[in-house]
Amino acid sequence: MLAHMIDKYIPMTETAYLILLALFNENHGYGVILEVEKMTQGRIRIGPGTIYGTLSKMEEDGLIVAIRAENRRKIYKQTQMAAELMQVEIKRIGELYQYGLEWRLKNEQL
Amino acid sequence: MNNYKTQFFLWWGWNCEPFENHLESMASKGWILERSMLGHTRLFFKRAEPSKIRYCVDYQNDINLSGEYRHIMEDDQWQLINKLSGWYLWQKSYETQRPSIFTDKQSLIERNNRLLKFAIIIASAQIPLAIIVLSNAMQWAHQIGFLVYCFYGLFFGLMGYSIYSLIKQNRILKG
Repeated sequence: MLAHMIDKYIPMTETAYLILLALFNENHGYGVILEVEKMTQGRIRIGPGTIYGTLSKMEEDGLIVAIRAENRRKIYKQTQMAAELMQVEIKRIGELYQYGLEWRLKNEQL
Repeated sequence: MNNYKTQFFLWWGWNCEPFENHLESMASKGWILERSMLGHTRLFFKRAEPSKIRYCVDYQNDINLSGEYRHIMEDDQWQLINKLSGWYLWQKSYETQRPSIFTDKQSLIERNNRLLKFAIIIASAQIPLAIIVLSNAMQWAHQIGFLVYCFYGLFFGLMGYSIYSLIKQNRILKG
């Protein structure tokens, strides 16, 4: 199942990545918009249509689960599979960042 | 001075931007959309202070749609002007940054895919009826038969063009 999710989600879009980061703690859809905006210091404000579509797809794929409802709004949290998927993605991003640093160092030496 | 205005604005589901921009332009001139009818083509405006209002059209398959959709939209300060058979017309006032309901390519591709599915189903559902009607139309009076052929020609031409446009848009979005 994880292998299938890796094929489907990796490399992650910036939106999916930030949403899963934001759902480390439970939250509702609009709360995720605000959390991502806060995390990126106002650089990214995800649209509500995008959030709804992405959360629906992630819930269907088992990356997030609705743990309860508050004021008729679903409260989501990421699942264990999402946590494992994020580990894979963070490792991939880390490697790319390292390659970038090495490239920068080589260019500074020229 | 008249405080109300009605307009008829023809737009296409595969290209909502001209319609959205037209409503925004009207709002900036002091004409705020109050309601809409006939597939959001008949528009009723009320005079007000010129404002910055963003309008967005979305298509959702109502059968699968949960209440979460409206909650998330309304929590983000979007107001629903009207909903007609899965077509949602939303508005939101803004000051500096122009808002949008879709902020990444993937969600635009998915919206286009919903529209594509809708267009394919509608077109496919009409095929058996069109075959029956057109095969009988040859026996009808010349003018009526001609009109029926024109109607179906226009219908399938429009459906075909909308399907082609949506596929093309998705190809551009996918890069």
